[in-house]
Amino acid sequence: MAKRSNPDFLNGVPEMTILKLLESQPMYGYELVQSIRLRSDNRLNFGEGCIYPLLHRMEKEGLLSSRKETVSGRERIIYRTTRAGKKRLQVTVQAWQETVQGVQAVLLGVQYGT
Amino acid sequence: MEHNQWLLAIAKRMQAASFSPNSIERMTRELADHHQDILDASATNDSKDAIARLGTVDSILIAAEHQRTASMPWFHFLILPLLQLVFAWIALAAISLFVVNLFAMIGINANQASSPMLIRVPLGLLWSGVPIWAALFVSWRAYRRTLFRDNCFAWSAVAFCSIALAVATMQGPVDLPSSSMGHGFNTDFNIAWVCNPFRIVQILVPVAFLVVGYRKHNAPVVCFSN
Repeated sequence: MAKRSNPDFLNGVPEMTILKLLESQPMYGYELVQSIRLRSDNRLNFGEGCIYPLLHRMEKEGLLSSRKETVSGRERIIYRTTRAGKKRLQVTVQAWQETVQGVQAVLLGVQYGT
Repeated sequence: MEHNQWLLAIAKRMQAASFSPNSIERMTRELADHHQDILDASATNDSKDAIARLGTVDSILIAAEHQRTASMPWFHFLILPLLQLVFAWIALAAISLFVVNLFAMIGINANQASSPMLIRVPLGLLWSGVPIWAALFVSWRAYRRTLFRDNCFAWSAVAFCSIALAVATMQGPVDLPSSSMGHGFNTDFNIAWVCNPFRIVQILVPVAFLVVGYRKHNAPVVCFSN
């Protein structure tokens, strides 16, 4: 069986991260990976090549669209978030924030003051 | 040179895992571009370091297989094995009929006790085991696919139960060609659906697995860690 490389609670995080970053600016794979590193302050570590299967799947599901473009003399596949992707992002961000708030409340013992 | 071998290994593994040529071409192209970008950005120009950043062949294959089955697990672990089972069944039945008929044409009948054991036994195993061989073949393929998944238990159970159910429900594989053979091919199939309480239970159990499997399925993640 494949060895897990991440804890269960990170399920859905890569998708959400990618949708968010590509919502504001279309990017190709390398740019996207650098953007994740930069914006997450190097807290999210992963094999950079693993981003492509995820991008391809999200494109297949209609969450992303892609087009070929020449950047710095090389042809690139540029990804951007689609309307369906934006909708998905809205839902997952809301669910994520609720989860974070709930966990934070438990960890800080807000409700019972413990 | 080193990165060419790495890309070639990925392409070969993807081909073996039945990815489409377009997917393979696109994946290797994007990985090659990414590799070049890393080299361009680094001062060392170290290909090994770039490959280490991109990930091992295994990790990329796991991610690719994971994402392939993530969007439609019910198709990959329920529908696809059943379709493969039907095709494997038909192919094996055709092969066994062809072989048996071929021997019949040259005067060796696999049904007759007088025929040599050396021919009768393998032919009998091939012929009578058609559903079992087909089920084993498809189970093996389903097992390989579930190897790449994190949440694989429920879905592998779904795959194996549906295969077992289909095999158990069908009666008899293919009729062994009769002794009147020798003037052409006999393609008699003896497949029938039989419904009784025991078989209903056989159906209900995998369905229960299916429901549990579906409920347990989560969107998978392979590549991120904190």
